[in-house]
Amino acid sequence: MSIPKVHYSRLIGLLEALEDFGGKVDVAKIADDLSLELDDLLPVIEAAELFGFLKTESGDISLTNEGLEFLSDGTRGRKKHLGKKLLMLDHFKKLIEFINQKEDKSITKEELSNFLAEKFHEIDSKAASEWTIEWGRHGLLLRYNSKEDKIKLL
Amino acid sequence: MSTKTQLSTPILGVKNVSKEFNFHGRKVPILKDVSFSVHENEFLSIVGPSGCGKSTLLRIIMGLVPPDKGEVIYKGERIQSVNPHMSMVFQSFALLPWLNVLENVELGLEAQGIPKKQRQDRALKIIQEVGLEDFEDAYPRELSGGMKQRVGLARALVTDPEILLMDEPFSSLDPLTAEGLREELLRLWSDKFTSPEIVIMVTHNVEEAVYLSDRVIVLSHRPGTVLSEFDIDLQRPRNKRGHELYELVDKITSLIT
Repeated sequence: MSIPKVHYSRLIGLLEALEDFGGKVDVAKIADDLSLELDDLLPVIEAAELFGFLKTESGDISLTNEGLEFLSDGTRGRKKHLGKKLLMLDHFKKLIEFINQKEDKSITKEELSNFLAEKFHEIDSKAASEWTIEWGRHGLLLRYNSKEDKIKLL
Repeated sequence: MSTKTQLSTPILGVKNVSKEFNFHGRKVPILKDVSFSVHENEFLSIVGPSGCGKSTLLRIIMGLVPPDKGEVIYKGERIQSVNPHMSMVFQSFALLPWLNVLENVELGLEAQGIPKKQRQDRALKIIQEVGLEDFEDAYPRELSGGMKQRVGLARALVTDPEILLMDEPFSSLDPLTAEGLREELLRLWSDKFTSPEIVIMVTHNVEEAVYLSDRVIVLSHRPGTVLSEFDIDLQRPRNKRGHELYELVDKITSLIT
């Protein structure tokens, strides 16, 4: 699976809400409680599942131990934790190799977009590069300066 | 009804504040005879139906708009111009699109004449506190709504205000983002480094007000007058989906609708 195309703050929100429900709840019930359409909520659930923070089982979602741990970390702890999870994805593993091969250890956004299209067959590789930068920043892995158009490793 | 908070000396007093707006030559009363006080370490919310003058009241408290009648007293003194000990978080984030995150946050300090180096150190520290680390270089267009409001929060907190005013801070965010950011706000509120002494939040979301606040003031439909006050004595951390909280939410909601 490629990187999640949802915002980090929504992932946090879902986990916090799930914790309020005692760690386990029917998907339809939590969607209803948050006034969200199911198809709006599902990508967030998938993202949380990808990172191992949540499990889905016959219409219920539940927090895993790792999810609970993640929630109890402070702001910075969560970012570090997220960074570790991101590094387990092929997406970031290969990207970091790619940046490290460059002489000045940096790539432009266009290079990132091309890389994602070639290596991961991302159809909308431009959008995928935005998401990569966003997750990379949240996980304290990448740094991006849009003025210089340089993506660097942190 | 509120009793315990009347024991200590208030930091802020709103006294018989009334305000009218001139609408095409017609006088429209917005606020009528609004009075309340706010005490140290209090998280106060003002709720009411839309158009009850909540946001105008916040602007009067900060000194951005003068009241027609009545006064705002801050630490014994009447407010006549913008109060430098307060800062505001806006619903619309109000970020400058041509400045990056660090520059937007530093902006809060520029007016205070603090040297560049100090300004930057303080801004970077706050940026880390609100979870914007590694986003210093980002421009507002690169940020999600939740991250934009974190910048709004950082810019308000960087001046180390005694009173933090928030005007519907979560209402332009999607429900999931708002959920997470409310928790973040509570965490910042309990944190000594960033903590202002008082938070005054205006919202139309009763559940949010009860969940976050020590006290909730309920305003009537226009012109806004104080209908009632509720001390929220629920222990923290609170369960947002708990039975006790909902009882209070129902009680307050029935007053407004």
